[in-house]
Amino acid sequence: MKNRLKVLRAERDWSQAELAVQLDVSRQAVNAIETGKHDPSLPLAFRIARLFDMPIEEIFDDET
Amino acid sequence: MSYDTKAGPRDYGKMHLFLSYVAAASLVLLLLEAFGIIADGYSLIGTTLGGLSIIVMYGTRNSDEWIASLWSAGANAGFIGAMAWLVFFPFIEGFYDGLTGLDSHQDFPSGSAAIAALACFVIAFNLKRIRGY
Repeated sequence: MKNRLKVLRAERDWSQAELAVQLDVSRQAVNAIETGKHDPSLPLAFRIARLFDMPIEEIFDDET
Repeated sequence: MSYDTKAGPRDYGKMHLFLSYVAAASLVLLLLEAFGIIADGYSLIGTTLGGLSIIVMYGTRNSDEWIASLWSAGANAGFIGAMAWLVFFPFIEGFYDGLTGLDSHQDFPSGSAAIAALACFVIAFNLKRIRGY
């Protein structure tokens, strides 16, 4: 599944570690999500959406 | 941006990932010793390192969902590896020996099942980590 996490993070000038702290996951988990190696669970996807104040479907694209 | 600097689940995740390398190193030691490349006795180091790593990894497996998915992939493969080594491969070997009439020795000693399980765990864990599957 593709996502815009890396772009959104860069727009806010956050490092992976900073985003990981806010999501309460490891930095490696953020990296795995950004590179498409891991699809986040629904609760984590909601946390990400709330953090960026965007709907989930604007962050994650399930059609690819 | 302010940070929460106290130790949290994400720190256990880092430890978990580091210990996966320790488990891999212990596997290499066990394999080298099994093939006679290094002297007997290193298996004790390998077994101790591998055993402790797996125990601590078990305790930190739920530090975040990605770590949990890595552990799950490794544990599934480890279980299948142990079952294959203990049940499936000896069955195939016995069947083959029966067909050919050759009564060879047990080629899959049960004492090596732990190494097979650890090998399957390490391979699956790192495949999932590197490739995402």
